[in-house]
Amino acid sequence: MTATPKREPTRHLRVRAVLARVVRHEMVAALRDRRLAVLAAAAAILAAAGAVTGHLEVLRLEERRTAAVHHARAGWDGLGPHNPHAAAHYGTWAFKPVGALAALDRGVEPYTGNVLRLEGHVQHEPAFAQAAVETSLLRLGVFQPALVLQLVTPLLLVLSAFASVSREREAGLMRQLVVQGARPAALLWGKVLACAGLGWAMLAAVGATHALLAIRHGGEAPSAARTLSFFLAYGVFYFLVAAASVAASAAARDARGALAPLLAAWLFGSIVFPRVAVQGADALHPLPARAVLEKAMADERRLGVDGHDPSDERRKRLEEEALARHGVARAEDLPFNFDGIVFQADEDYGNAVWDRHFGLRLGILKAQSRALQTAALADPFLALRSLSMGLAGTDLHHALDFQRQAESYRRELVRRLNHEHAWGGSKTGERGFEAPAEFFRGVPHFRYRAPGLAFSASHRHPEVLALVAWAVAAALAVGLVARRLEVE
Amino acid sequence: MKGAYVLRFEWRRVTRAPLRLSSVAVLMVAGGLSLWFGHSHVASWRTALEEGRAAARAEREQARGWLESGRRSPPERPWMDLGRARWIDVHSGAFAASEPSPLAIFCIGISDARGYGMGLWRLSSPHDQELRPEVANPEKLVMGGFDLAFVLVTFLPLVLILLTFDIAGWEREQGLAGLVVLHAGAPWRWVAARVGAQGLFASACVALLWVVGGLAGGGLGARPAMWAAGLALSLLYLLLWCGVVAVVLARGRQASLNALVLIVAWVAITIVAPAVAGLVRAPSDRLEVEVARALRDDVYAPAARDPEEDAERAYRLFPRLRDSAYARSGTRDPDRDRRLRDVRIHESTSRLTGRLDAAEVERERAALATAWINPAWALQHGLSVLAGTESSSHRLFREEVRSAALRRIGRVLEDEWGGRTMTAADLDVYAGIAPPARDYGGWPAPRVWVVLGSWATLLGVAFVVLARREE
Repeated sequence: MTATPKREPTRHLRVRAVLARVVRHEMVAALRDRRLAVLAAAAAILAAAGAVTGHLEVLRLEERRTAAVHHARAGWDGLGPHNPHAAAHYGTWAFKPVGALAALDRGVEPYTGNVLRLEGHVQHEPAFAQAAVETSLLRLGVFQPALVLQLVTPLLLVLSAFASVSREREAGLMRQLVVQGARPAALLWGKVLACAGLGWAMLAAVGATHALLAIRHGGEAPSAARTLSFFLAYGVFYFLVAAASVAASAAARDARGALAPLLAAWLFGSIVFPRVAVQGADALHPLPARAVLEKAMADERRLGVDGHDPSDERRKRLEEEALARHGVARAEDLPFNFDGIVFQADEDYGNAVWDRHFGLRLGILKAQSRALQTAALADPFLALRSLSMGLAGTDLHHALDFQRQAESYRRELVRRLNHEHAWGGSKTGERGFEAPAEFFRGVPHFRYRAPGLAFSASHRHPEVLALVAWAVAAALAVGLVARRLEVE
Repeated sequence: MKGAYVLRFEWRRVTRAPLRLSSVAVLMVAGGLSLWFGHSHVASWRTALEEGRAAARAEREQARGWLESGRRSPPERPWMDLGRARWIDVHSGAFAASEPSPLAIFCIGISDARGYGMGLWRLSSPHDQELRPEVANPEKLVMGGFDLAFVLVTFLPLVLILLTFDIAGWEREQGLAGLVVLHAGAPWRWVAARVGAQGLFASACVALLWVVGGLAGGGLGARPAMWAAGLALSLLYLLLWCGVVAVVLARGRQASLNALVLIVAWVAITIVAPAVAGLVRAPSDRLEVEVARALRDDVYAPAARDPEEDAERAYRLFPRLRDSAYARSGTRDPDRDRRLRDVRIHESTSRLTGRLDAAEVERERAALATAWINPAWALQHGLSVLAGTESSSHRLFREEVRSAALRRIGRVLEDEWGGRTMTAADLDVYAGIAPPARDYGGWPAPRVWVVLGSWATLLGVAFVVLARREE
């Protein structure tokens, strides 16, 4: 009864000691292997350079955006006495801020415009994306830390781990270590931690460069939770790659036998499968042609959602109701400007039409996203890629959120202007009516509220699950292979 | 050493090794899949243009119906007057289209991120607020297309690496190097012949994919010279990679180390170099401010300007306006002068488009300058230009849209200042004031050929020098 409790800590400590020794040995070996050291240094330099250029790009974009926001506000505030409906056409602009983590992963931002025109009657789409003025060079990738962290670092981990067990086994070292009392599991886990440590060191290099630049240049600080989650996702992914590589190395007959499937998995998972998956999602849930969408919206707005309620009849009904309510015979005799009421009614109708079509489009985009998330269950590289964009605040959902917030602002702005047109003191048909300059200056400007981590988590939890499931599977594979080594 | 023996030997190595055989099979399957995706992209491109044209035609026919029934406006828009040129211009259903080239199946380039069709009227401006790309999931755009260009740029070198990485290394590990010297004489010739043989097999795969794509997309029949140029560029790129492989193999190391070096070279050439080269571009400073100015401030400012000044500007662009009845009358009619505003707005949006174009040209120039360190993009760019899916092709289209919009402004001014009452027949006249529907495929810059050719030559020379030194 007394012997067991004493033996357990000793064994536990021995495992830990072996683990620590293996990790140290592997790291020293990696440093002594000049080829690997050169590759790791090159990757680290690339990642740090990516962080620097990404940071400078974000600063440049943010500077441009700030200037544009001031310009748009100055234009609006300087309107002077103006007709409210003319002001609705004059409109304003919404510019999406560039999040601090966009320096690490630009996500879909090069393809979604960050400039949105806001005016009465019409819902524009964000425009002037980088892709609109870029050459086909954009097709071969954007230089950013995410490129190095998602493609180069995993390859580096594979190259550092593919021979870690098989070479020792070929040389007979593994058998000697087991004979001397070392447990294969401890040996393998030591190698996994050493290999993953290389990836974590790369992450630390990128994180440190990013933090230093952020402190030096200032700017908007990213949310700590977002930043930590971003790096944690990569940390888990590197653990997964390291565990899978070591397990493959232990399972293969020789180093070459381990390298081929690992390289194939890297190539297929990181480059081929994501492209095929998005094409497949698009083929499964095709979006309608723009012309079809726009014609349907224009027709519904003009002829009514059911095609039997033309806008002139809607106006007539509205006018009859207003005249009856106020007991007058002509719109000019109403105590307000009926044109403002018509503008708002048309706006409400147009909004409903837009909501319906935007909702349909959103439904297709969400179906595509779901298909991609299902595909991500089979490909941790794809899961990491989507999760990275989501945590950096640069994925599709954040782009749509910007559009939603800007549209809410547009509706409120137009509603205020139409209200002023109707109730600001003019009568129906009084086209020369002008609201005072103070009214326009009193309209609050658009301010984008970046969503928090919960928003990303709510959209990206399937990717989180996929990544964790793959990491657990890789860990189980290491355990299984270790047991087989024990038997051997 | 006879070439035929080497060829037969290498052919057996391919057919008898599952890894090599499956890599060739994967290349062919990926190539076939990429052609299918390319074909689907071109089909949806055509469908989108057809839908756009149909919508424009429907608008024209609706206006024709109103005019023929003696009405000048629909009931819900009583302010419209189809008897005036300004409204005929809006409802003529003119459509500007950039058609897909028969070679677009090979390389979709950036066509999925750019607009290729738009309804046209006098104030049409070809920036992407109006000439918008098709509705697409940005996550798909950011991932990139799976076209043949992608397969050739990234897959083909990998397959070549898999087919060749153990040439000479295996013999060295097995202690057969001496035997090789005895039989082959100069080992570098032996290595070159074996890499060349595998290169030939890969070339045959590439040629087969080009023939299939050429037949499926119609490029082989419609543009044989351009099709041949695309194939030649692909083979030149393959030759370049044969050079890379040969140089690495000539260093005389173990097969596994050669494989690692080749993989690193592949990552450097196909992933890192293009991304780094992407940094070399001319940023468009304060673009958003220019956008806000051109599309809002300038649109609303002209109302307060001097019509005489605007008229002079219009006369410079359209000298025939001076002879119109209105210009000769010497009076000023605010309603007719409102159309002078169109000239000013066109100039403003043209300035913006010109600024965007200038930045784009600068980027293209910078990108082309980096082609020396970026041969993967040299191939991608060459194929994109041939397929009419490069930024230069889209710019050409935008320029034609801009010029057509200006012609429409001139026509509206002439008709309105001439006091003409429009008829249904004028709808067709205005529909015709549009760029001709064509594709914008062209010939790549000579530099693309020079870069790929020079790399292949340099690597060939480096191989001979290194191999002789190793001897």
